[in-house]
Amino acid sequence: MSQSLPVSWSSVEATAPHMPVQAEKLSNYDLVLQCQTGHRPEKAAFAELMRRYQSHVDKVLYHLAPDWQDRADLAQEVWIRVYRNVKRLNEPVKFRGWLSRIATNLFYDELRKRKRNASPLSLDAPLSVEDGQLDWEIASETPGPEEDLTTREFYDQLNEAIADLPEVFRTTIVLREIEGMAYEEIAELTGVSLGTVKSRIARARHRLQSQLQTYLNGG
Amino acid sequence: MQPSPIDPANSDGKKHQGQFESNTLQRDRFELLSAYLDGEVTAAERKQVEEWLSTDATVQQLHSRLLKLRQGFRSLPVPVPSQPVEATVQQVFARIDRQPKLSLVWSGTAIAALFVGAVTIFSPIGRSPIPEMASQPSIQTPQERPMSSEGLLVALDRPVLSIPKAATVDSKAPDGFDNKSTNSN
Repeated sequence: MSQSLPVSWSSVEATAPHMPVQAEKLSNYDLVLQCQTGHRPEKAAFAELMRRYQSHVDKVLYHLAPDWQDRADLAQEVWIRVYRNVKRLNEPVKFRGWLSRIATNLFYDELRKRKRNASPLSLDAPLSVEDGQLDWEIASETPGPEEDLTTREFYDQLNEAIADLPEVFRTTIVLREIEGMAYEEIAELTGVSLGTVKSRIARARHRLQSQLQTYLNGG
Repeated sequence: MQPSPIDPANSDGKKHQGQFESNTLQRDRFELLSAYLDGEVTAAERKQVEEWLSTDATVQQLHSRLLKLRQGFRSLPVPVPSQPVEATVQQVFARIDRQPKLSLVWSGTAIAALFVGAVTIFSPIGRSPIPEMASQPSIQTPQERPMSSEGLLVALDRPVLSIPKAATVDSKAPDGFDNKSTNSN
């Protein structure tokens, strides 16, 4: 019974506007503008926005939290925040970065929550690794297959190598390479100094390039 | 053979006391190359890195690897979504639509709670019928008494005051009602 009510409400609201908007034909920029008009975003436009950017949300969350099973719930929460706050976005051109930031903030909120609730005595599975533990001298465990190096394999290996990075290094390099954030933004978001960000990015890169040498050396 | 200024992996050449310093230096230089890649260097640092790049084959190779790594990051295929995008769209709208209803329910509950609170506090009757009902079990307690203690049973068997027999007879006589009833039986 509790399920039937919201559905009927949404159908009423969805059929209310009679003007066809054709959100699919709008450019990304105009689509964001369209979502900013009115008290709340119009549903057709907002649904189109979700269709265009959900893969980006997926990608960000996937790399930030590769081992979380409930990323779909997190993605929903991201969109609810976007729905409520898109009106406040001053520069619609920067929607993608803004969206990344919402997803990242949400990830950190959730991470803090999970760390708080985690058993303090999980000796065999440390949740985070301090900066000192990612050594510069990497003994690459897997030299990599020498035969038939396909692109697919490279991506698989890269995904795996990113997921294997200790948390602070993974999140920092993801914020830089996938979300395209500047060092200063990353420092602000993660609450560390610029020097630490610089060092974490370099160390993450060093480890990745070392593990993936076989793939990266090819012409 | 000129030692590479950057690549920490190629640090086999110096194994004496200078190795630590050498590693630190290489680490700093790798950091610089990494920051250069991100455009997060000063003009002087940029010049320095570009000089290495123009003269050192190892640095060039490392730079090339890092560029490919970056390319890999940027062209990483989107992971298989945990659910179709339309499902997410539906779920998000369902949650958005549910929000106002939930807030209505909560505000309704709050109003009801306030009302009950007000009635309880400002009621002219000191005690509402509910506490009286709650006190009802005390009426039933006598039924439990026989089970409670022997001392009480003894006490009930004996009168509190010993009354002379004559007085008892006298007290019954004027009444007359008992006598009549016994007679009729």
